[in-house]
Amino acid sequence: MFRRRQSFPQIVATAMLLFTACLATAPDGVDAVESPATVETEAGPYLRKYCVECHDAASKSGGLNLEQLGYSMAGRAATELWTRIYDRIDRGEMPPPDGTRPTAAETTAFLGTIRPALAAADRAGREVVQRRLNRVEYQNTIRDLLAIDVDLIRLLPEDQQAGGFDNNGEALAVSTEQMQGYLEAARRAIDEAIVEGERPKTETFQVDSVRETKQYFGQGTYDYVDGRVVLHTSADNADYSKISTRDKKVPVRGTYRFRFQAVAHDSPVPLSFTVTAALFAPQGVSQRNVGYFEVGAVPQTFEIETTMEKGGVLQFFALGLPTYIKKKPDVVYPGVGFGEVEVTGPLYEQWPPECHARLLGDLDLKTGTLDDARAILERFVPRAFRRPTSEAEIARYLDLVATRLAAGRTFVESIQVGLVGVLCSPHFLYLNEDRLPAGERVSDLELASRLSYFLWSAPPDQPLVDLANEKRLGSPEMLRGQVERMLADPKSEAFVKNFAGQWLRLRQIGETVPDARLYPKFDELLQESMIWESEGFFREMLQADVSIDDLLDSDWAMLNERLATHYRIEGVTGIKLRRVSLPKESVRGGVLTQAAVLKVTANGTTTSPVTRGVWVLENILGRPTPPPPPNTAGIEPDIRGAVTVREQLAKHRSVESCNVCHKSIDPPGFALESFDPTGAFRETYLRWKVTNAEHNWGSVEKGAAVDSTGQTESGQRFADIREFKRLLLVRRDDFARCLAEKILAYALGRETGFGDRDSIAEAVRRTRAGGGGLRTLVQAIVASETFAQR
Amino acid sequence: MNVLSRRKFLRGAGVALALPMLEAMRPVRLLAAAADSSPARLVAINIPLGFIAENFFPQQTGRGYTASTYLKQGEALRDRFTVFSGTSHPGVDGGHSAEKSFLTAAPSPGARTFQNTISLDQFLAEKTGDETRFAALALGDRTLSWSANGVAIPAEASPAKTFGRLFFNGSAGEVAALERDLQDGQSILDTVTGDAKAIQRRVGPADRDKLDQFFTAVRETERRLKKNELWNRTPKPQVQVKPPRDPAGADLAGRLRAHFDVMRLALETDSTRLITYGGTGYGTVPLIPGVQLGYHGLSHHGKNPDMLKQLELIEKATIEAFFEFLTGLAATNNGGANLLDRTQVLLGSNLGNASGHLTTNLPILLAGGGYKHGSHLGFDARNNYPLPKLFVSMAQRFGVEIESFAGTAGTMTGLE
Repeated sequence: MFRRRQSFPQIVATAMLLFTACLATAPDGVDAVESPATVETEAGPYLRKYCVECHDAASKSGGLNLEQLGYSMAGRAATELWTRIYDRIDRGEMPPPDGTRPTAAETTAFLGTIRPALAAADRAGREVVQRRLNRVEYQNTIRDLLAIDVDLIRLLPEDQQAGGFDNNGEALAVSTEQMQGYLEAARRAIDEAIVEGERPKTETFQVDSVRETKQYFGQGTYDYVDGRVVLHTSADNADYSKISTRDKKVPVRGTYRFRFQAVAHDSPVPLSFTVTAALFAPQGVSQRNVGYFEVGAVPQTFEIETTMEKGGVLQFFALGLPTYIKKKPDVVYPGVGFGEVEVTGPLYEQWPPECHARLLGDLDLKTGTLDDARAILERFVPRAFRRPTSEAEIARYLDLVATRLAAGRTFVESIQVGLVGVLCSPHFLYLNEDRLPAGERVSDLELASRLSYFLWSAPPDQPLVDLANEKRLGSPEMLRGQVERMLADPKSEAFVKNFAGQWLRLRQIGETVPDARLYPKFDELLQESMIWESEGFFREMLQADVSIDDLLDSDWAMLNERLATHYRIEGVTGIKLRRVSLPKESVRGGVLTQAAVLKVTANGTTTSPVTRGVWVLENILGRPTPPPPPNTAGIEPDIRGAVTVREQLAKHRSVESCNVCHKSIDPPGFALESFDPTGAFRETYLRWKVTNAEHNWGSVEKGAAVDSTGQTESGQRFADIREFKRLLLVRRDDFARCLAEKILAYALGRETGFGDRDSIAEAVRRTRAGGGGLRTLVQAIVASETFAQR
Repeated sequence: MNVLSRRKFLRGAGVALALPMLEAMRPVRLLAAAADSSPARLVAINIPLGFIAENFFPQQTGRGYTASTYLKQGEALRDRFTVFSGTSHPGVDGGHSAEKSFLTAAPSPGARTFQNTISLDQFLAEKTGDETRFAALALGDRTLSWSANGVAIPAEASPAKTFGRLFFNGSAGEVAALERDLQDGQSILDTVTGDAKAIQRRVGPADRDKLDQFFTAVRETERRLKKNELWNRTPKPQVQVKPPRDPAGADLAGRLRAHFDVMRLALETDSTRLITYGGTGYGTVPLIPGVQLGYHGLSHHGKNPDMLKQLELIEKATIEAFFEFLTGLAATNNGGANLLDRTQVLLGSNLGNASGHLTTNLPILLAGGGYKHGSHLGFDARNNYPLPKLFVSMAQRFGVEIESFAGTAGTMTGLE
């Protein structure tokens, strides 16, 4: 009896706390769907017979009081609690094994009674809410609308995530700071789009780095060979390089072309370097990476075309070289030679540029009138609102212009205010969807927006809008064709970056720095390559429609030389990522053993089976773990060696309330212990042994051997990560559901729930029937009933 | 009645906002009592990776405790602060996520459906924010400030930029252009409101919540622009200090000092009375001799002595900069009072033990503000004392009479 009370409930207890927190904020009266009376008459006896004994008003095991709960499942708190009850009974975890057990038929009947009522309640509470664009979508929307390339993201507050994604409508709140940000960003955008005066003259000039470097020539860091400054050291993530175009900054904001020669010196292999566009202001440097390159012993000409701020410079950094050189005679040090840079710009394809022409046509700004303003807004507003607009809507913004003109302001100033106003309208900022009863299909235009923000994080293009206007978008064949077209467009890179980047937490890659003494080979290029690998893997799966099982384990990987070296795989040369067949019995393959994933789930210097285990449960198996129950001190890690993490966790699992979750958390974590915080394979732990505390000297020492064996929750043993991945493949259906659920949540900008389960199951079934590919899954999700529903 | 009521004056001007105080409006009583003319201020600082507990908390409680390793550095200021142990926010867990709740005390910040609530500074700013050019300042690499509907208020990471906002006046042309922009902004927001009202008629309850949020934001932004317009006509205060340059990202102590310097100037010139500072800690190897590892990695020291040693160097540098900040405030005369006595400065962390991601037994220190300081108030390490009570005390001291904060009623026991 006592044991019984402890196990279920520790989880529910925590869950309850969360639910209580939500209850307070759940919107009331969202189409409250009441459970039919039959639920009480049919499900009641089961609960009373098997559950109420512990979950009554007196003992409230785990904080669950069934006597008080009632049969209404409406409202988020009740829906989630009933979902939890459903799942625990469905998985056979409840009622507990040592109590009075219902027969299988009783349980099936009970679940059958609950299911439709719960699904209906969940669907009612989970409509897609009016959601505003997040800042990535905002930036892309402005880009497509105005044909400008300007960084607006930094003007807007960071978006909050919910359910793992930052396009969740509920989390995307609007605050005063947000509104001020919109005002500023819109001003910046409109300012950029409208040009006045003559076309700035395009000029070409040469610039080199000799002035800043010549005093150091021959001392170790810099040399001068064949008219090129040779750099022998690397400074990862630095914001200043003496090799730059600093001596001739660009005169105005615009697009510039930079041509320069580079060459590798004294290196048997090609060397890598990176280039950044930097702006030095009194407040500090702002810097943007414009590319990673490699070069061999034969001088090669490189060309970079990029947008520069006024006064901006390019900076050059060599990668993978020592950070410091104490020069010894007769020793040659590899280095990258950077030649003089030829700068051409600002470049314009036409004058006035496309952005200006698109907005204002060939209007003479000096003689613009209110009628001109009307024509401009009539063109602009429907495009900004992504739908046809009414006369009254145009009039509202025209009025802004009229008032300014009447007050004697210039035409340009006046029209700017009107255009900025349009970009602050909720019709632009929100993905507007008309109120429809739950379950009804959205309009074709709304469907077009859903598709494009899902796959492009950007507004629908003309073909989509045209199809929607002709009401032809909704048919399954048309949708399928459009998804194919959209995925073939480079804009679909947004789906790779924003979906995979958040699902695999790639955005957190820089949050920890591995111990340079234990992991001296870790560098900037490796960290960048890690992101390229995980994004590249996802992209390849999407484009080649590779089976989603390959996300669990695959016989191929996307690698460049830096990663291949890190993984001890031979035969890959160069900085460019390409598809590589993995050797038999390689530990790599699938996302779990990708360095990026292993790095973001580590602590920088140490790894924790718990962190990685929780990650696997949540992101691979679709079973999010509740936080440890309140008032239990988490384990304070002790890595001094007396107690291993494994021993600590074993102790932990002997406590029933911990074991409830840790029996599923720990095993995947153990299998992943074979990988250090940089994602390299290890057989022993490394530690830093201090030999001289005063001078902080020490050496790397081998610690204990890594034990990557374990036993899954259901009792299957594994010896290492390879075997663990095979066991994971057995649960491919759980994974498929988990992935489908995440993609659907991302596609709709809302969390998924019980009411979406049928739709998700159907999408998975169709995917399997169609060969199981990732692209097929995306298609199946778009084709699902839920995708097109309110 | 020689003293013009400020509120009345403003209403007369058709503006429901406060202006900079004009001498004619200053009550005679205040002019007489010089100390009172220095208004109450509040600063809250969070160091997200916390402090090693043994180095932070003194062993003895009450007055006359033996200073801990870290507090030793502020020995000269012993009577100007109180240190608290055994406190935390009820229901706030979630490891690093607890940072979001440090000044809001909203429970379960790590939950998927977490919704934050208003932070102490923003709550107080709602009541008093019209008196100064900036209602509140959110500074640092990470924000502590959250609006009433739980939206993060971006923090300014650059001390140089903060300095510019506080003290640089534009040219006459720039001021005029800004005024036009501010007026245009208000018209734009008016227009947008009209547009949003048209949507309102067509939407259901869930969306109405979203729209309400939009209306609130627009209304509040308009109000702010109006206020900015008034302040735009008042020249910014001038300080005899060289504008700061931003220290490099890894220069942890340098960055702290640069922020603290600007904060002191902001308080001294009464540009704002509320400042939050969210510290850094992620992804850098601090430029401190003897530190070779990343700060975040070090915080997961697992009791490794070498890592603890490096972490201690970072934390010492942090505490040292903090005590310098207090010393600077104490040395600043303000309206006849000393600035530290008029400024409550909270230093704390959302983590009690970063190595284990624990959110209990938080390191908390309150300085200044005219309290009877000099004690270590020790509470139960297993059954923590609710920290929101300290916020209630601080709000009352600030001049806002509240009974409870984030659902916890009552003031801090033992703090007078």
